[in-house]
Amino acid sequence: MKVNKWLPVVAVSLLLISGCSSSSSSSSSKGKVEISLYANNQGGTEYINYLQNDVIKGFEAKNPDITVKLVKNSDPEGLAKQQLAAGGGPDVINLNGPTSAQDFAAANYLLPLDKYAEKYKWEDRYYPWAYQTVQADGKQIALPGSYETLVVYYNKDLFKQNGWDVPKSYDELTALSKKMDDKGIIPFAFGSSDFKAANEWWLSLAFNETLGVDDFKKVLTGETPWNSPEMKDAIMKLNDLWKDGYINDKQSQAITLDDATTLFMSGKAAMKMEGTWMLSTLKGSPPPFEWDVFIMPSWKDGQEANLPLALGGAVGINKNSKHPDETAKFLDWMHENENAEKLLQQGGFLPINGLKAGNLDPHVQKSFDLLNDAMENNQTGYAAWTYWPPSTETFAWSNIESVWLGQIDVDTYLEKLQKEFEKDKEKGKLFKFN
Amino acid sequence: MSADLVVMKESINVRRKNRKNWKKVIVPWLFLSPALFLIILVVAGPTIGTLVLSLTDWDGIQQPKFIGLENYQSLLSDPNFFAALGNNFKWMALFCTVPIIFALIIAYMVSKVKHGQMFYRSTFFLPQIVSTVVSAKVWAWIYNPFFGINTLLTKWGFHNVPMWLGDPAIALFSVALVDGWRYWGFLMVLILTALHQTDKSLEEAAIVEGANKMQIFWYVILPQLRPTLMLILMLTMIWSFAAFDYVFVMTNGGPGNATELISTYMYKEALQNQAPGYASSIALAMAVLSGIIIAIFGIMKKKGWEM
Repeated sequence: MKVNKWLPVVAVSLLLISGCSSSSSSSSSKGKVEISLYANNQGGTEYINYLQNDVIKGFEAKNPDITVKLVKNSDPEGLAKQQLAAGGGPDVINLNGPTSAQDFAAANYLLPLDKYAEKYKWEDRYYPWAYQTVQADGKQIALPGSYETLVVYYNKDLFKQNGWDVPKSYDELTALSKKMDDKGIIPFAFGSSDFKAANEWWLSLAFNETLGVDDFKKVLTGETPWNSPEMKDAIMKLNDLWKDGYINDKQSQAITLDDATTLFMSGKAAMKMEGTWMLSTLKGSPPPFEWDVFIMPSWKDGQEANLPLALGGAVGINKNSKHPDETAKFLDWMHENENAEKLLQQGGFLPINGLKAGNLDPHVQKSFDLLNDAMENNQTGYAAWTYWPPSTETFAWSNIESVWLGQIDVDTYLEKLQKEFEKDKEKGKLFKFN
Repeated sequence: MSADLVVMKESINVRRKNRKNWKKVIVPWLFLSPALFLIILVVAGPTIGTLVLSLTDWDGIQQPKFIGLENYQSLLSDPNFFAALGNNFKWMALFCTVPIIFALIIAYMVSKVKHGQMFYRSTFFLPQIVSTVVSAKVWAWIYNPFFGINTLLTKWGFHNVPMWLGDPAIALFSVALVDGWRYWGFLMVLILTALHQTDKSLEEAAIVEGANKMQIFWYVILPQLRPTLMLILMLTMIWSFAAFDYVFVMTNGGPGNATELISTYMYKEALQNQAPGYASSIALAMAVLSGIIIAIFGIMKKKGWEM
């Protein structure tokens, strides 16, 4: 029969069509609602376990009619961005921070949360500064994620053995680094070959600690140019630290972040400047020596040291979500005190009022107190990944290595930085300070 | 038979013939259609998309804004693009010489091995089957200034050991060495296959005429390898513009922009600098450069270069 000849073709075509068609459904046959969440798998296994075992399982136990599907990815925001552009995406939008939240809101990807904010009384829950960073055009567009800062982790045993004190000024810092270098110990372990954006940790410190909180804010608002003499002073000081070999023996560009951590853990480096997110790493795999943290001293005489503050993330709801109510319920649960306290135990600080946890690891407690004291005393600066406009930020971290290696001079670097800032300003991408 | 019947028969024959012709035209296209559909879906579609995007200012989130040829104007005055292009040419110069010559010599030597030839072929080809990311990571550890080969070299009394991936002057060559280490085995297998297809009677004739080994290789064997070598040369040149993985894993374009290639620069512009529109213009520039190479080889072939 002739029909038989075409039967396989028809069958294959049907198979292909059925394979190509979307099979995703957010409601299972049992009537359960499924919401999806993408999480960054680069944040360490501790965080993923916390998310899976504490947050999701806890939520599902309390809400048996809702299941949460967790998808681990190295770039959840990027993945969601692609899917959102095609009208899809997960229910929970995991964002890199307030700047991303503003961009996503401008593209109309995020559902305004005002209705839920009122229902769950979110405004009362969060620190006002953090809550306001994720607002746009008077609407609540997301909820703030963990806040973080940059501190110096140091090998306390090594300091004790050599009679070294924690530095209180830039001069003391360089003098201490020289002593370490003379002993064949790397002062600061630091590597960025696999994650060049890590260079912005140093830049955040250099600008905040040299200019101070108020003057650097003027740079971020455009009152002071990025190529001002004060900014040049900051870069020169950072450049000196690198060129003298105090930042990983002038080889930070040749090793990875993990390599740098190994140098610190093995005692080959005495200090490591990194974010408070490293607390969970050190808590999970403690080094074989006593360690502690201190605040990077001010790089300018007569000026108080400050802690560059950052909001390490934000969460919102997909505008196309079929289950916004359930998703809002999940967001509320994610940031409830019970979960926030569990995260705090790991060194993750959610900007929630009155957050306390018993039996905190002393290092976590110290960092938490340092950060909260700095916030109370208005001694928090502006970390790149939260407060700097996007093109300026990217140019800053991707080109500072060229300055260190002598491929471009400081003046050219700062001039170009100013040009990038002007571009950002023209596009309305500057951080909106309240 | 009446005239009407003849006309009818003829008409039926013509219809049958037309039907056969129609089948001849349509059926091949039906068989080709799945592949054609895929090509349109994964090649033509994105190419047109890239072309359109290159004419826009787009941050990947907001609506793209049409800006005409502005991205191309920026590209022509972008020092980072030209620095990356320069690195691509260095990369190409290296890959068009070192691995090819090395593979040619080793392939010739292996072709003369009477017993255990397969062992050599497999061993030299082995790096090719190792995952790029795995081999790149392993080599990055070997190059690591604190844990890698430098610690051994220092122990053995060598001073001022090179910073393989940290020195802008040598980083590109250090990465190229790793890519070349993986690539030459593949070339060797291609050349070895070509060597097995050469006309042995010509070699015998040359021996009878008193030619030495060098003369046989240069005047008898090499001309027969020309089509394979030209193909290798063309592929190497095109692939040099697409080189990405080793640089991305081992140095991410650094130190500074010492190992930045067009492909890594395009990736950064698209995904880090949030400028997919500009990145599309870089992608098209890459395609044009590859097109020029193909055209040059096409012209050479037309002018009588055997390929």
